[in-house]
Parts: sequence; structure tokens; C-alpha cells
Amino acid sequence: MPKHVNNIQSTIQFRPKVIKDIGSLNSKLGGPMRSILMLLSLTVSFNAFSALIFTPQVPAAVKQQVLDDLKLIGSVKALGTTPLHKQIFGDVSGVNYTKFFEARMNKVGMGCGAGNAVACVKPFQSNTTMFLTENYIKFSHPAIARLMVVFHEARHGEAQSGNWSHAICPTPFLDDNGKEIKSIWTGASLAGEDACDNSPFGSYGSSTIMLKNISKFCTNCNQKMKLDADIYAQDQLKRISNKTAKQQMVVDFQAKKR
Amino acid sequence: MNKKFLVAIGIVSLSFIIWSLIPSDDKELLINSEKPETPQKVIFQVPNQPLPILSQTKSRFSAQTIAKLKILDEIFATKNDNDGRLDTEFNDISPELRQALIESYKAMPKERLNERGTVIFLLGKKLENESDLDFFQDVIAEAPCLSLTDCSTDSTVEIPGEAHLAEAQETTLIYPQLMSLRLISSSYVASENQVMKERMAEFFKLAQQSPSEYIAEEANRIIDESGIKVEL
Repeated sequence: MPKHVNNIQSTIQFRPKVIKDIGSLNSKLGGPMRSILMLLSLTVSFNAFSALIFTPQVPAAVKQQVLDDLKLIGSVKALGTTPLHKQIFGDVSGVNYTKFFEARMNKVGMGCGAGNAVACVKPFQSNTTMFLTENYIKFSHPAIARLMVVFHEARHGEAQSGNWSHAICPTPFLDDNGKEIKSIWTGASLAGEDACDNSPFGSYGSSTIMLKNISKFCTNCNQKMKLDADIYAQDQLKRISNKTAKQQMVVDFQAKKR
Repeated sequence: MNKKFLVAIGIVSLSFIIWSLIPSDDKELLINSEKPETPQKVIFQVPNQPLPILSQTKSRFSAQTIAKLKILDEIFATKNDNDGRLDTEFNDISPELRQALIESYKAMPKERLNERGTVIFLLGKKLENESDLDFFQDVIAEAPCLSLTDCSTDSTVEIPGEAHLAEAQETTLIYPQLMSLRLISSSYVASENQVMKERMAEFFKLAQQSPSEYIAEEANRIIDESGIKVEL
């Protein structure tokens, strides 16, 4: 499905144009052909506006959890948005989060290798398919953590932005206190790994900004969800290895409600 | 040409059009028969089962406490972290309910990190007595959870070049401790009780000494941010 995606705001412009063109052709033709073309337009429009497609390999429980999570994020209401959030997603709102996701992903499949991954995209295979694993339901992540991963991976679907490939974490990779940043459970240093971002707009940056805004401005989130959003955003901020980018985000998070 | 013939042509054409619009990998899936997947062994149960506490406590706790535990169990079963009842049903935690929640926490499999964090969240809403902090000190002193599938075993499969897929997992491993740090720091800032503040500062001193570097660093960050006075 062709998509028109830009860096600032992603919308699907393909669908209304197709229907308009077919409509104009339709009026020039007579009876049976008009019926066939109407059926054709309905078919195309059905495909263009169809809900997320799940491949048969996706277990029912995983599918249900993803749909529940997307429904949760799609219901978010808020009073306030930081400038960086506005650039990436628009205002903090479930409608905008749904648009963001649906503009990038139209299919869900299974399989991210043998590790502990919950979700991934495989740009060499498809820029519009989110792949999940059984870990999506096996691991006891808070809902906001699962959503963070899903939106992080959706950002990687933007082929026109180089899939927002991660930056190589610097060597040494130090936190603000000069201590080396390591993986919590392996103890391995992240220095030299492609597990950082050097911009607020990459996958780590954008998902951090999303969570911080939910934490600050969501009006129909309970206190646990807002706290969770802040906890996971704080962790993700560590992956912004460029000091200027990180500072830009810290300043952005101090924006007050509009 | 008669109408029936045209309709037939239309139906055949439409079928062809629909077939051509289906992505090629889905066509393969439609053509090839799928064998049902063998369910994988799950190390801990998905939360469709009641909390262990409910089956053990019916004779020990009052009907009101049992009712609250049932609400929590419903929330866990739906996995809806945004359930409004977490904000409304647990604001006045009685000593009995506090005890029941603590027992519930200890009875849960350690891998149920979100559920344990949720119980901590509820217990941290209102800290009135020094003894309320004992539980939190136990939480911060817990042995680290080594993996999301089995806290007692480091069953991490590390794949070269896939460190970026570790997002969220690392935080979830210490989620109960991170939740504790946040709640105690909020209580410290809000409290006007000097004795409670001193106990909370002790909690942070313990957190600074955590065998988990990440917990210790987060404790330091929160101490700086919240102005918590920790004795050296």
C-alpha cells in the first residue's frame, strides 16, 4: 500500500484520492459497468481502510493483547503537549497516536528471533509489518511498556527516514554522573552497540517524548499509568547519547500545560 | 450482450481483482494449509488465575478486605493498568487490607513484576506509620530478578547486535524497586512528619547500597531531584 509519510506528521493520503478518481470515471459509464466499478471501489476502499491485519501465526491471546493495548493508547485524552511531541505526533491524544501507528503499520506477524524481544520490525522484509513474539504476553510488562515498545518499533517503519536507525552508543558510554551505562541484566556495556539515538526524533527519542507527555498531560490515565510512563521514559532517556539532543528533550519536558 | 452475461463477467473480474490485491505472502498462507502451533510451555501463569491470597485467606480476613482483593484480581485478569478503580478503591487502606496486600505480594511469583509493582503502588498511596515503610525496605533489599521468564535464573539469550531490542525489559526487571523509589520520594516531599522523613531517608540510603547498580543510580538521581537528606 503506497503511503505518503513525512517527518513531521504522518497521514494516509492515498485512500481518499483513489475513491475520488474512481468516482469520476464511474459517472461516465453506463449501467453494469457502473455496478462493477462501484464494487471495485468498495473493494479498494475496504482494503485501504481495513483494520490491522494479523497473520494466522499470531496467537489469539497475543492478538487480543495488542488490540487491547492499541485501544488503550487510542483512548488517551490530554490537556497539554510539549513542542517536540507536537512535531512528531501532534497534540497528545489517542486519535493522534492511532493515526501515527496506522500510518506506519498495517500488519502484525510473529517472530523476532530467539532473544527476549517483545516486538520488532524487519525493514528488509517489510516496512509496514510489526512482528511480535510470545513475550508480548509472557512477560509481565506494564501496559505502557508494551506500548512504548510498539511505538518505538513503528517509528522504525519509516523507510524515508532511513528507518530511524539507531546510533552506535559512544565509547565510553557514560551517564550524567560519569558512570558507565550498562545493560541491567547482562552487565554488559552498551558502548559500541547500535542501541542509542543521537536525535530526539528517533525511536528511543520519540517514544520517550510520547511517554513523558502522557505522564504530564493525560487526563484520563490513572496515577499508576502516568507513573509508569514516567518511569519508562526516564529509562529510555539514557539511550539519547547526543548531549544536545538530550538537553533539548529535557527542556521540552519542562513545557507547561497549554 | 445480455445482463446475466455481463454480471457473470463482472463477478469473475472482481474475483481476479480481489485476488490480485491480496499481498503475496498472505496468498501463500491461504494456499498452504497451516498446522496448529504446539503451545509453548509458559513458566508462570498468565493472570487468569486468582491471586494466591484469595484461596488462602477467606477465613482470615474480613469480607471488606476480601472484596478489595477480588477487585485487584479482576484488574490483574484484564491486564488493564488504566483501570480507574486503582485510583478510587484503594485510597483508605485499612491495616488489615495492608497486611493482606503484603501477603499477596509475597505469595506472587516473582516474575509477576507488573502485578507486584501494582501492589507496591497501592501500598505507597498513604504512608502514615513507620511500620508502613518496613515493607518498602524489604522490597528494595530483594534479590534482583535475573530474567523475565525466571527471576532465579539468568536465562537471557544475548544476541549480538540486538541490544536495542532490550528496551523496556531492563526496566521491568527492577520495576517493583523503581516504583518503591518513586512512591517513597513523593511521600518524603509531601510529609511534614520529621520522624517519617528520617525513615524514608534511611530507605534511600539502603537503595544507594543496592547490589543493582541501576537501582543505586536511580536512587541517587531521585535523592538529588527531590532534595532528600540522606545521612552519609
